Amino acid sequence: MTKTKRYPKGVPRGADLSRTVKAKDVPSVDFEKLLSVDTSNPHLRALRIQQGFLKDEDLQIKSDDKKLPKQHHLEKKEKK
Amino acid sequence: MTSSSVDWRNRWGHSWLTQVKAQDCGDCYLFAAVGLVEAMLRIEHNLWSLRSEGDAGDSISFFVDHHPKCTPGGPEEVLNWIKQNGIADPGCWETPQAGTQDVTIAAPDSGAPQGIVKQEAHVAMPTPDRPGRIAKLDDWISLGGPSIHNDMKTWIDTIGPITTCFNCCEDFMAYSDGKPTYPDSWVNDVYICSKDPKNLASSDGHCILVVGYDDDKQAWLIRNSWGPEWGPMNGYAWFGYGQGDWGIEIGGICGIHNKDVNPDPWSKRRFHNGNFYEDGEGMHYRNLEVWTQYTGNQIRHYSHTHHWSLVETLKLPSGSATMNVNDCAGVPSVLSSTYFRNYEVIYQTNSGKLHHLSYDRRVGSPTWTDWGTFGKDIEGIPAFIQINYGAPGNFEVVVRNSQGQLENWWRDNLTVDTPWAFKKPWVLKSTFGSDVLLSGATLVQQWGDGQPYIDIPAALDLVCVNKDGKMQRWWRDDPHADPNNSPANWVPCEKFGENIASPPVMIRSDFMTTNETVPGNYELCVAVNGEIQHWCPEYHCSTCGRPELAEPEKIDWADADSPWTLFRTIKTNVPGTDVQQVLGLIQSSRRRLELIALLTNGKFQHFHYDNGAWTPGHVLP
Repeated sequence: MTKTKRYPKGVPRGADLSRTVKAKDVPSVDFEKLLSVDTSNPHLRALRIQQGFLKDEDLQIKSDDKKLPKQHHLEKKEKK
Repeated sequence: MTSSSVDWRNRWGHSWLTQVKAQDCGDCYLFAAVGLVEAMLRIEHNLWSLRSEGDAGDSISFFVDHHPKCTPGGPEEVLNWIKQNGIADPGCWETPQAGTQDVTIAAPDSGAPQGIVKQEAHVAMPTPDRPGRIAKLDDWISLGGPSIHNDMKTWIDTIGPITTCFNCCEDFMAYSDGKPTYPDSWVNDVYICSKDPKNLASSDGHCILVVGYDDDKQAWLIRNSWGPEWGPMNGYAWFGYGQGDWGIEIGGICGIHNKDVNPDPWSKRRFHNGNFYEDGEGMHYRNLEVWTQYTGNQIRHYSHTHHWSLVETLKLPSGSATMNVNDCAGVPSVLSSTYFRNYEVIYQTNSGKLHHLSYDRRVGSPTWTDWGTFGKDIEGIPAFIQINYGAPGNFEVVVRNSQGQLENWWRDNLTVDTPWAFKKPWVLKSTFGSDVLLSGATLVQQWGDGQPYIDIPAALDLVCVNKDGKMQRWWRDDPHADPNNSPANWVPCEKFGENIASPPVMIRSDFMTTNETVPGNYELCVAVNGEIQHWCPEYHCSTCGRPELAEPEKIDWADADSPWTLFRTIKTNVPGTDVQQVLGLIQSSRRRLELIALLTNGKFQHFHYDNGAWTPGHVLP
């Protein structure tokens, strides 16, 4: 089977664009509110702090836990 | 302030996306919506959690608006359905069943029935434990407004991928042998719609996931659902910014906030062992829960949201089998099962039996149910897991008896239609080993081929402590067992450690994984001479037990080289005390290893590992 046979012209897609919400009909997202909520992901947390969205008082964990995690020693080894 | 480029395929040194899938009919919107849920479960909860497009699609087909799966739709209706019903894993429901069914087609815009037609139909028939296998979704958001371009970038940078839908032309689709059929539409590997009238005439709607962007390229990084064979980058491609009506900033743009995804216990089953669990309920679905033995043979339940607090001392409702939970003589082993996310608790009693309790979450006010006791002459901490044989999967326990052997008990959860309605017996499957000093919460099911699915034979690993003070791994050889004959053999494997006199706890973490098909590393913690030792195999442990070897019984495992290395040690910071025993170990949503240890002063302390080191944390009240 060639790669083009699996996805012949016109197949498969499937979006009915009349059923999707148009961007022009939706208000903008309030990022200040959304990004002031803490996240489990330590990298995202650090990024939001760095970008000024997440303040110390918003954090659910104490401030000395805010450091970015390093990679596991075995993961470092594998990349060598 | 937004980053100038983002790529969720590899960000901060880790992969955050499941493998590219291939849709088999016009259901791109399902793949976009389900891919979004999978990505957010990974980003927020550190989980590879494969979800089933069939679970949503085959249900939407007949239960929502009579909308056949393979006819056009949008991601919004899929996300709404998932918000109401959750989304299960492929082991729960995946394979479509062929057939036809009368489907009512509504007239456009009116909602009034237009007619009834025969459609190729699939009927969703998920396993009976679906309520305990679903990831839940609190909400999702449509993105839009005048600054949609910048808002898409901010969302992707600070939260995660988004869906989008667009007019998909022939020059986007056509690829042959890794090269575009319309090379003029791919400038430096960035897709720019050609606007050729012939090309535009073939356009149709298509939904995809946007998983990054690059300002230098002036392009979005998109993930398609036409398999890894499509496109310039194994199923991914760069799609030029802007492009008006032919771009991807027009509609169907949906995101899920981090706090709104709630993972299922089945996806987390290898991430915890012992008396410690990160629950899918509670504050942003990452509550920490601990159960301990307490004065008077009672069990106490502690929970952590912002800080540790005592939840309750266990009490059973009247009418329970034994009416006694004041019989706990050891550390409880706890899991959250596919029975409605119920907590299941097994512990050694003060009369040398094993006691099984469950916290029934079927109703709004959960209660403890007593499943009674089993076994005799038990002297050890039970290793307790749910495995993938049947759905709900069977329960397996391995525990030391007073003769220094290990006993493997199991409960068959499969063989009735409504398994939660019956009290089923625990059965002794096998007795093995000798000169065993201690059993611990170390039982983990290995990765079988096709591991998301039920009934795929996958070996069990276990570590015990022998009377010579060494730890030893045991392997239950399920892949080579004769299903029509005796139960699988337990095979003794390598020994490691010295002077071990407390029970170990072991989990399989996500360290070393690159996608949902790659097993993570084993992590084992044990208290030795007053401090905690953290052991892990030095090589990637997908080959632990060497299941690829055809005749494992011919290998002298006792003399095999140990792959285990002592990785870290950590002491308590409580003055005048030592660590007596490790009770439970998890890998949490924060991508940390976390454990609960018993100190020599009788208190319980929380430790966590990240940033390359273990840190002693709070002492439980």
